[in-house]
Amino acid sequence: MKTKTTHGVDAQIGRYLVEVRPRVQSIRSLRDAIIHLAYHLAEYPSRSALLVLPGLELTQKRLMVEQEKALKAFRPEIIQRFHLVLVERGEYINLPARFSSSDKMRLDQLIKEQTVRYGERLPRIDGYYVILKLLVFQWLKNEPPVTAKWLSDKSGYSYPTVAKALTRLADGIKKHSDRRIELKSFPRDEWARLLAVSDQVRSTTRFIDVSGQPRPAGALMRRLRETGRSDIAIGGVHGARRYYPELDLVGSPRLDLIVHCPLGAVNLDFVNRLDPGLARVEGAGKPAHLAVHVVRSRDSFFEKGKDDLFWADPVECLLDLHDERLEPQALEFLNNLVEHREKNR
Amino acid sequence: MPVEFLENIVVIGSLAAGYYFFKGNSSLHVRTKDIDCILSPRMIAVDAGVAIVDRLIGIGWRPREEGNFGLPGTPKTPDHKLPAVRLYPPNTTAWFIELLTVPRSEDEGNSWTRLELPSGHYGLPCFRYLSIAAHDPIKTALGLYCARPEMMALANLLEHPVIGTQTMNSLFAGRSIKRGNKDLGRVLALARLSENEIENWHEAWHRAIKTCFPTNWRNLAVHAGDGLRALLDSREDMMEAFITCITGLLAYRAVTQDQLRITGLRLVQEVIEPLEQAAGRMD
Repeated sequence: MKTKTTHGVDAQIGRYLVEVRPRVQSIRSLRDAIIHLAYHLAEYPSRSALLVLPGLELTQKRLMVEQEKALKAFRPEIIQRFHLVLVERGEYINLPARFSSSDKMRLDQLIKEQTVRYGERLPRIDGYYVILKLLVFQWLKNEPPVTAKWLSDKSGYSYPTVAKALTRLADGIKKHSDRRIELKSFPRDEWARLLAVSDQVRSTTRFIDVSGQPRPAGALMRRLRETGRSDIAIGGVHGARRYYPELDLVGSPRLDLIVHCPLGAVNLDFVNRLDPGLARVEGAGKPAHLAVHVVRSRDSFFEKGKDDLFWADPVECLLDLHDERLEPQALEFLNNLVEHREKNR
Repeated sequence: MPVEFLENIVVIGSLAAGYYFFKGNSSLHVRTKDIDCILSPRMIAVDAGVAIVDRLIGIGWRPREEGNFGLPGTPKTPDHKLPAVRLYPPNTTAWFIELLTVPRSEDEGNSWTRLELPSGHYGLPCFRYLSIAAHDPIKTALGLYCARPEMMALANLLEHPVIGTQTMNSLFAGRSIKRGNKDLGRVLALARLSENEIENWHEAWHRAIKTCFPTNWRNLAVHAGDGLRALLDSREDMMEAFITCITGLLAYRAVTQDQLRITGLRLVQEVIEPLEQAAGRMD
């Protein structure tokens, strides 16, 4: 049972009554939450309210329509104290400027608690691999060296965890005089270790069609776009081809999706919205039509394409190719990424 | 059929479905007893009906008169008691054609229109959603038309916003089956046979329902999926629908009841929900 404050909302942070509704999927739920908070604002005229919507599963357009309706329906003195806050890729959108950093930390924690409540808590993993992926990403993209603080910010792991990871990688790290760091080369040995534990690190879940009429990956991607989710990106062969269109593969590969879960919980209900014909299948070697992986770092590094879909970074795509046992393609893709890096140096 | 009225005949039902899905494969067959033909538009239905019955009886077709199907009526027979036109071809009672027509307007419900023939009076039944079934039909090489699968599916959905208690006259695999389950089962069979084509059904449905019901379409659209959802939620009703499918259009397809249910869930997500949203339903 959800515990409410004496004000009947999830929390009171400063002068704000806060209600967190993770992964709202329907207009009805959104309306319920708006009305719920509006009632409290009418009851407490000295308070303001935040309706925080992490992982909103409605399109921006539908959200705007509903917001417009609310503006017309409520008195101005209610609307002026009402703030609808989105959380996208770990960033707050429309958070009031006067919200202090300590209040923000409390809000972070509240969202984490509420999201876990609404999703499946992920097992703890070794943060080393999250940091390793970030360094590989920077290296493949030929990005400038980074600081330990940058790694901490982007990964969401503490400075001691970052420092420990860098110690473990010592021989493969190049340290600059300004304390920035980068990989000396592609860390093949550490990469091989990551591949060995990739299933756990990325909490991979596989799905197979049980309808007898599997949906093509393109249809699943179209439905994914319709959800408007910015925390789910396409990886795998489809993602790799975005970076390297010549990737040699005949046939229709499975679809790999990467879900951004910086709060340590995942909700896979969206798979049913993509296709009710998909059912979970256990076992890494089993054939699958869809594989869902989790990325834990605070920054997802997803890129929005012109097609309005979000695309995973090349490191995730490369891991997906290995996961699908497409070793020749994984090697081809890696070689292409390295070649591309060398050309751009 | 009289050549001058071929353009006004739309075949619906399993024969139309068979034409659409199986016409390129001679190993597949449709087993059906009744060939339902819609006469459209309504303004020519009486002329077309009279000409067709005249022509067919003239070349040896015979009215179906056994069982509950009565003899032709007289000028005194009330419209709603007139027998429908059901004609056997010469030398066989294996199948017959039945003539129907579309409503005059979106408000007209089920009704009967009198056909006065020298051989007696017949009724031309009109059902509310036949205008949808006959929307944008496919022209065949013979000159007459066949209904589109997606239009027959939508007409059946609109006909059954709830699963009523009425049962079919004949048994399916030895079981009595509710009419709603048979018709909604047909929706599932059409969707199953259409495979990925159902991605395009939403736009076609939207156009058809707005054309046929220009003022009422929103109200119809928001309830179009109610009967199907009830079917998918009931194991017993779903079983009945499944039986009609595997003894009918899906007889050649290896499909389980669970797989057919998934077809229904996909139809709800990909076609019905977008139609409901277009009509203003927000859940």
